[in-house]
Amino acid sequence: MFKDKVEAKDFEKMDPEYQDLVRKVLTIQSDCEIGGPHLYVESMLPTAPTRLDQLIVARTATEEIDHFRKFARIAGDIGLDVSFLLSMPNQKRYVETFRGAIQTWEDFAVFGCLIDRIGRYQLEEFIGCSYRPIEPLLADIIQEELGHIDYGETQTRELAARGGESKEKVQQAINRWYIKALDMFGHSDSRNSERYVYWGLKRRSNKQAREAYIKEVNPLIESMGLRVPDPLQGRHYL
Amino acid sequence: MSEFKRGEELDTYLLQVVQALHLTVNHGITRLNDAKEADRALEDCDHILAVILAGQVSDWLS
Repeated sequence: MFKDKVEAKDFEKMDPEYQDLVRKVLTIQSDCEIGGPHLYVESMLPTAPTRLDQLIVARTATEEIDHFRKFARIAGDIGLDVSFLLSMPNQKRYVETFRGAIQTWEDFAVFGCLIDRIGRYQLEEFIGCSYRPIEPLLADIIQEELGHIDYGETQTRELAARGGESKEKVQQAINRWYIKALDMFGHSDSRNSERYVYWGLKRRSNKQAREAYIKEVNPLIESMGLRVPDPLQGRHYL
Repeated sequence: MSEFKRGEELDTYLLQVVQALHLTVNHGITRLNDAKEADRALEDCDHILAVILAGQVSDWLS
């Protein structure tokens, strides 16, 4: 198990596997940050229920762009150009969750509640990470993700509490995003997952992180009077 | 160590955009009682975000 801390200036002295994993994790994290705004700005900015909601959509996108900027900066410091992600079509995103589009307010709310929460999990994996340039970014980014999660959770709860058609639409959104959320953790027996942990880049395996997520969100979904979807139906990565 | 040559320029550009967006959103939120002002803030956000999400980095940095 690797316990050292690596500065950017020492990156090229590291084992090639370590370098590959850092490049990969910075690319995927950058993709996830900019992937969100690409999913919802065009559709939700003009159609959110109130002007305040519209402005919150804009603020959420702004914060995600800033998160992208921060990860792109430390990627650039090791010669990794991730700027192509800014214009990459949604269908080509690294993570399947970001390959579609958000078309309804219920989807936007549930996306905040379930998918931004995954963002928090991903970021928390980096706390104490062996690649030192990541650590200083985390506190502010996690704080902003908590704001997105809280807003999404509040909206989801309110839409569910209205009952009838509104509740049914929220349930459908939960059915869509819950499965995507579980898949975002990757294969339970992923070799990369084990190597990330070995090199001190992440704290937990994919399986451990997914189990913690399920333990957190299942009671939350039930507390809103909604059903937890079958966790195996439609999954791509078990 | 090889750095991405335009990384710093891109960082500076995006930071300015983020600051402009935050100012615009905050302006809109504090003017919610004035529909015209709030709508103008939204239009500005829409315009800035469209430029960023188009992602034409070479145009921004030229």
